[in-house]
Amino acid sequence: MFSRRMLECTCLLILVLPSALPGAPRKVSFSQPAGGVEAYDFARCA
Amino acid sequence: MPDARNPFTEATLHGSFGKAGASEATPVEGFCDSADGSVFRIRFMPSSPGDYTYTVAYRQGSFEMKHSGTFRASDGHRRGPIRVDPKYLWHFIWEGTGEHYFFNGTTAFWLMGWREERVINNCIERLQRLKINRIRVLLSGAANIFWGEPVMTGDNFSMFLRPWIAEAPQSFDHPGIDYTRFNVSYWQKWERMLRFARNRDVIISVIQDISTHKAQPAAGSEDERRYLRYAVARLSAFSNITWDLGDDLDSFRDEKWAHETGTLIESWDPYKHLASSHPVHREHQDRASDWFGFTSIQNWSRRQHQVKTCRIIPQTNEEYGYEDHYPHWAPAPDGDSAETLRRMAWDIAMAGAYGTAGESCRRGTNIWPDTGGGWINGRGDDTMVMLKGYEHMVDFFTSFEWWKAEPHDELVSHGAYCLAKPGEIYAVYLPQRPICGNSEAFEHQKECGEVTIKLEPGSYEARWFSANTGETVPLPPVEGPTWTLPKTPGWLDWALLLQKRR
Repeated sequence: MFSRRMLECTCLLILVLPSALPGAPRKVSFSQPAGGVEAYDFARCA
Repeated sequence: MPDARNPFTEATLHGSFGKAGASEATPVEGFCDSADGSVFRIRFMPSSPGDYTYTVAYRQGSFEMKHSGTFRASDGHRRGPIRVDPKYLWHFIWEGTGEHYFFNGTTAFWLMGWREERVINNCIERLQRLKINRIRVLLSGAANIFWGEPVMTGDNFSMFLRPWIAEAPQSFDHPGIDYTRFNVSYWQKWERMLRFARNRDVIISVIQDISTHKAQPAAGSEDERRYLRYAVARLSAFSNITWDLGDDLDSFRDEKWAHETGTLIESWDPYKHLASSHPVHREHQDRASDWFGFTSIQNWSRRQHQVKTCRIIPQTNEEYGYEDHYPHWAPAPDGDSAETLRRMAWDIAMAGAYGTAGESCRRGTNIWPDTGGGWINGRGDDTMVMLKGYEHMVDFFTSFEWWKAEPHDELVSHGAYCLAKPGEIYAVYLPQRPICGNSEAFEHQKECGEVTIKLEPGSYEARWFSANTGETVPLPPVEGPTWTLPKTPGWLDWALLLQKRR
C-alpha cells in the first residue's frame, strides 16, 4: 500500500469498546508508521 | 464495528502539524478512507527537514478523541511543488530546489479511465520520456461523445470517472450517484497514479470536472463543497499537483462560482498549490484574485505569438490544438498536424508563455490497432512523434536562463521573434523562413528579407538551433550593436541563441 518513506498520519479508527457518549464509536485507536519522511513527501497517521 | 451511518458526513478528523518548538502550526484535514468508516487518515507534507509534532482529533457527534505524535523529516532533495517565481513572475520554479520549471504539458483527460494501472503508469512513463512534465487529468467526468475519435469504451477502458458511489456508474444519463459517499477505491487508485507521477517529477493538473455531462453535484451545493474539500484533504499532501476548477468551466459554472470556489480551495489547501480555471473564453478567468496562480486559457489561433494577457503571472495556453483533430471552431487550415502544433508551441514559448498540447487519438482505443488514445486518455505508441518535436523546444529553452528573457520582438526584423535580456541573452526564432523560397507566397514577402537584430554593445557567443531536428550549429562570435543574421543552415524553422561572452 504505502511506502515506508511516507509518514502518513493515518488515524485508524477501530470501533470496538463501549462508549460513554451517545453516537460515539466503540473504540478509536491511532497508528503511525515507523520511521521518518523526506521533506515534500508526506507524514501519515491512520 | 463502526457505527456512523455515513462516515463521510458524520465524522471528521482534523490535525495540526508544526516544527517542534515552533509556535506556528498548520491546520490539516483528514479524510475517511473506508466505506464503513473504519479507517480515517490524515497527511502532512513537510517543506523542510527537522523534527515535527502534531495533534489530531477525531470527532463523531459529541464524541472526540485526540492523539499526539512526532516525526522527523529529512532532506531528500525532492523538488516539491511548483510555485510562481517571486523574482520572475511570468515563470515557475520548483519550491524544493529553486530550479526553474519549463512547463511542457499534455492532456490525458480520461487517464484514470484505464482499469489496469500498468497502462496508466506506462502512459506517464512514456510521456515523461518525451519531456512532458505536466498532464491534465480529470478527477470526475463522463462523456458519451468521442469527438469523432477512434476511441471506445471496453473492458479495459471507461469514459465514466466516478469519485462517488453510484448505482450504475457506467450509465451516462442515470448513474444514480450518492454524492454523500465517496468511492474510496477510485481515490486510492488516483493517489497511486499521483505517487507514480511524483516520483518522476511530473505535475498532475487535478481537473475537478468537465462540461460534457450532467452527473455533477449542483453548483455551490453542500455536496459539491464536500467533494472539493475531500479532494483537498486527500490529494494536497502530494507535492506534484495543481488545481483546475474545471475544463470548459464557463460552460457549466459562472464567474461568481469560480471566484468563491477558487477562494475556498485555497483556504482549505494547507500548501496553497497553484490553481487555475480553464474556461472556453479566456476573459472568464478570475485573474485578479489571490487564489488564481496562473492562466490556463484556450486559444485556437494560429497566431499564438500575438496573444497577450494582463496580470503578471505565468501564462499558459492549455488548449490550442489536438494533433489530427479537427474541431469546427479551429481556424483554417482545418487540421492540426504534429508539425503545425510544434510551430504553435514555439510561437507560445517565444512570447514568454507555456502550453499544453494533445497527441493524436488515431492509434485507437478498443479500435485497431488499439495502441493509442492520445489526448483523450494519454496512451500512445512509437508512431506518435509530435512530442518528439516538442522535445527540441524544451532542449533549446532549458539550455539558457529563459526565465530572465522577455519578449523583445522590436529588436529583430522581418517577422522574427526575440526573447531577450538585453546585453546578456538574445533568443531569436525564425518562424517563416521556408516559405521565403516560394515565389508565390506573396503574403510573406515582407517577412523574407534579411533579419537583423539590435544588440547592446559587446561580444556574444552564437549558435543556430534547428527547431525541427535539435541540431546545433556554432557560429563565430557576434558583435553589436546591429547584426545581420546569416542564412539559416537548413530549411524549416530555426532558432538562434546569443549569449554574452564571459
